[in-house]
Amino acid sequence: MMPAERELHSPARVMLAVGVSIALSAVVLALFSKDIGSALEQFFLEPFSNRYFLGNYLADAVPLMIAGLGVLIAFRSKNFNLGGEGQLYASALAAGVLALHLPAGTAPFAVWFLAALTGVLTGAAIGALSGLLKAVRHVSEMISSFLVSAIVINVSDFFITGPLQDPASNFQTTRQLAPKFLLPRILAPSKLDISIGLALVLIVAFMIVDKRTKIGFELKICGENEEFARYCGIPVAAYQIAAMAISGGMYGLAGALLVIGPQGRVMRGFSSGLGWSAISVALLAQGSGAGIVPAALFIAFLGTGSDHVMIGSGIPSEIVSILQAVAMFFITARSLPRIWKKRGQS
Amino acid sequence: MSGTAAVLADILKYTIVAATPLLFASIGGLFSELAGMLNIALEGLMGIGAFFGMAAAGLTGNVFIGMLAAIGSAVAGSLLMGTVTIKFKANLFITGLAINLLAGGITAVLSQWWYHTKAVVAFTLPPPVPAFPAALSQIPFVGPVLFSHSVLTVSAWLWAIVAAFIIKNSRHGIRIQATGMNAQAVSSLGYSPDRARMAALVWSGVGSGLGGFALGVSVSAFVPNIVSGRGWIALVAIYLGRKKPLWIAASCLLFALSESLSNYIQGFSSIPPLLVLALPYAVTLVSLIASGNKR
Amino acid sequence: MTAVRMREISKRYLPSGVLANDGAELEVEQGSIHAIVGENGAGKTTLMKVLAGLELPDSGDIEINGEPTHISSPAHARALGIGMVHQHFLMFDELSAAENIFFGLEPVQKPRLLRLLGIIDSSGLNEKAKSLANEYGFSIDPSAPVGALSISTRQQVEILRQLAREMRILILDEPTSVLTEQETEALFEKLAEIRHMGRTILLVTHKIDEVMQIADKVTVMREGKTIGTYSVASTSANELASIIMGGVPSEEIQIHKEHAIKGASVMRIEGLCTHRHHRGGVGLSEIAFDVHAGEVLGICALSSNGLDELEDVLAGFLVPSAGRCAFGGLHFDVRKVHEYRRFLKEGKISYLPSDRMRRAAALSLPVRDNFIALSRRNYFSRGWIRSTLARRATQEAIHAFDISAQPEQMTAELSGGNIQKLAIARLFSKEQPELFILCEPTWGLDIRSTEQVHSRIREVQNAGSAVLLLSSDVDEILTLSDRVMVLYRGKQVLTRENSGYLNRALIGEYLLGTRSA
Repeated sequence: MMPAERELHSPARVMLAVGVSIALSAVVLALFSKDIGSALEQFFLEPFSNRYFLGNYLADAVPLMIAGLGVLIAFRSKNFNLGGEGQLYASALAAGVLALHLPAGTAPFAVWFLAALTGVLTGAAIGALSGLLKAVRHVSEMISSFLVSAIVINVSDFFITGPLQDPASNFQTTRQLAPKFLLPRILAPSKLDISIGLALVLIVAFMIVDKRTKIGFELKICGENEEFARYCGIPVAAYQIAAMAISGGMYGLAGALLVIGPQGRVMRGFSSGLGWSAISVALLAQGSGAGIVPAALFIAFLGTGSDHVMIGSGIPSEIVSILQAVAMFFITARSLPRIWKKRGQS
Repeated sequence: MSGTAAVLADILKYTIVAATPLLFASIGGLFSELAGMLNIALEGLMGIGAFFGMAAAGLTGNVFIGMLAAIGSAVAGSLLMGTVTIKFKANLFITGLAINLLAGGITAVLSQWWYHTKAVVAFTLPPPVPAFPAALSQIPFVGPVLFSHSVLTVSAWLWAIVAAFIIKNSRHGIRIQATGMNAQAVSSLGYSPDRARMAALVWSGVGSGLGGFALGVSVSAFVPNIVSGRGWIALVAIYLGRKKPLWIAASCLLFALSESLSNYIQGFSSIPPLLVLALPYAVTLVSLIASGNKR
Repeated sequence: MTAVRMREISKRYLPSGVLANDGAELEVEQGSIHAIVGENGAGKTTLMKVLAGLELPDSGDIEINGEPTHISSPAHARALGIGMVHQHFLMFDELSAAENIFFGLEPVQKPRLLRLLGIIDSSGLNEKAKSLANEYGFSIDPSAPVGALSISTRQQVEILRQLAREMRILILDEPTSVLTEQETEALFEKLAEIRHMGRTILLVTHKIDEVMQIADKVTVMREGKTIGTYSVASTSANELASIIMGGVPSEEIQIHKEHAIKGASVMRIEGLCTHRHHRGGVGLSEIAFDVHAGEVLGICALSSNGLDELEDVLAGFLVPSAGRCAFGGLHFDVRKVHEYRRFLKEGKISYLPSDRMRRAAALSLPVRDNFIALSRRNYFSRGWIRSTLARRATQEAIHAFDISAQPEQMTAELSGGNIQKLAIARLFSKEQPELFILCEPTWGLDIRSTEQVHSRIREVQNAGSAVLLLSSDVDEILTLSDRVMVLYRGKQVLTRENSGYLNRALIGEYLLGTRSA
């Protein structure tokens, strides 16, 4: 590191990333909207303005919390899971199919449990595949997870638009689940349901496992120094595969909960982009389990604000991708250039 | 020509056309791989090149200007990625992801702004310039397969040849290779590995921009998700080709063939189109596993 | 004319605090081959790094060709005509020899456009390489990729690279550590030719026989200081050896050994061989030993003579090419690493790595985590951490071993010596194993800590464990060992009881290769 550069520390990076995204969103709104005042209000204030909007905003944060946690766990073992889109989507479909085929008299709780389990197992299997390929064939888990994801998305699309298509609907989607099979809502009339509780429980559980259990301890060491982990007799390969499996499982759980929750069915492309957003969440959380919640809330906020501003001012909601990308740049930069220092000094 | 031969010729001809964007992008990506950087932004850079290239070509009615715009915009993207990664010491994979996200966002927003739609934007372009005299393309079988292609398609192969030459035979190419082999040695000998890396990323930008532009030209439009995973396939082609231009070209042809076949099968068979769409990815994944790449 | 004059050079490395050079001096005549010798840690490499601009001295003066100068960077050193051939070559494996030699200076094609584009004139490049090589009596194939070449040829390429850049002062750092005897002969012929052409060569080595063979003058260093400079013609190998080792009579080293009651053989190794790594390093050749309960077997060697390889084999990190092992009642082929690693896992063998930073610590984790990592069974009950116990045990270890640290502190903040003590404390807090493998246990520790560690080793020895002590510190080996083994160039050259007959000077001769069994 050159002496003239300054190392950016973790909290500074997060604040910079968040700050710049917010500033940039204001700039984008100014550029593209006809009435900047109402655009700003729609982006920043509307999501909090009533129960309906607030509930929906929180509901959007839930899959980000769960999937983001999964990505964080993969990061722990220095693995990069880029297959989240497919893991989430395929698991959602698997869970949905299961729920649609359960007899009408099944207890709701059993439905939720089985659907969630199906989602987790499907996602875990897909994730584990990439982990195995890396351990056995030295294939980059980034590339393999992406390719597998692309395959399963197409296969899932085939099932949704083909054998599983709801004959009564104009959209490309499966049939709807029976209303009593859906997760109970809180904060009506929004789509927020009890899965937010599960998300928080999972995060707390992770924090506990991470700090207080042997498994969390060994995983941490695998990620920090592989040679040292071997010296301590920790089975590094097993942990690597497990981390990818858990990461996939989390994506799968998020997908399943969306299906038995706000969606109620599996519509083609319903989760597009969630996979990448979860990575942004994990990055913002900077390795801390507790950080997942504010990180998910922030990323969800960028998305919700963009949606509001699209409905209200016609600005394309894809600005959220630009905002996320910029946040990522700032989050991952590790040192500031000389120019900054000079300005700071004068 | 008989019916089967005509069908085969069609498939092969389309294979070469489909290989064009892959070849452009993978050879561009080869530079960054040789410099020691796994560049996952090829996908996004192709998208940027497609959009700005088609926009410029549509605006001016000049394909060459479109090509320059495609190159320029993708290079800008790779310069951004390079600056954040190299100067600000960021993680290469995350900046790559960010570029992919950025590409999707910018193209959608600008598409809405300039063309008032986020869906297909059709462009009227001048007809493609054939690379070979018409007489050659009349030769049975070989004619349509090899000699009916446009200048753009043939350029992809020229690009590959020129790039291969530069890599092996120029000081610049040697320096890029050396940076990937032993960056510490490079700096110990008094040269800057960072400069070589940045240059390599710029080359990726050139290749990806051209690749995206070729995609746009092939359908005379910009379509959201026009790249559709080809940037990743180009990346795998680099590995499969063991970083050698000749084998990379062969891999591109292999993947293009699977795309061509899947199009053909869709045309008349009862195998569902969506499953067939997954075929190129599956072929790519299987090749990757079979080659057991040592990364 | 004096090519190089260095005076009062001092250099302390932070954060380890090691004083590598302590007022060192050097004077080298132009057109000569000048050797710099000393034990491990004598300061030779540091002094040369200062000369090559890779390190900045804390104090001292340098004169090159009579001109006083501060060598501020490798580029500056190059501008002064100083080039260094490192122990670990800076090679581009997939490029040809000619491309490696002329990297950055490749001749380009004549036509204007090609010249601007930097297109290389390949045949011109190969010719240039060939003629340069012939000038000095080297023979290389300029177009062969260097990755496929033998180590000695790669070294020749490395040397030619410096010559291609018109370096007049050539520093070679332990050049023969990776060469066979014949290859060394060939190298020396080339060096003589280079000297004949008027260049100056500095040869850093610990091999006395080579010094006697090729050098004109030799400077001896010890503990960062220059002991003296001698003309090779007017000294002998033995004399030189005793100057290097310091000739401390063994009576002065306190031997607090109760005569250990040797128990049964705990581990026996036979016919251990490893492949010579293609990048350098030496292969082990037919190593055989056994170690008994209650005994300390000290294995000693200078760097690059096979001690690292032996450690990696005993750690289960390197798979040997041949050998048999008897341990714990089992006889097995050492290539079955899994069987061997089991003993490490089960705690029957306790191993202390020599590379503290990389292998024995996770620097970004707190001290407590590093401490309990090796005995997870004790500190986790049914999967849950016993944090009070962990904290208490860490604290006790910190106290018992005099470590300057807090359990919650990040390990990276500790000094090198304290990290070492932590690794030792961790190992000695476990249940007593059948065999200890301790590698460089007191490297970098002060005298008091060293004594503490030594008394711990004696304790476990008396309690019945066998101890394999791998160390390049001869004093330590003599103090602790019941039997001593010396490695030279990967071969076993001495295995002897540590009776009064063994002393520093004698062991030195085996280490330096001037005497073999």
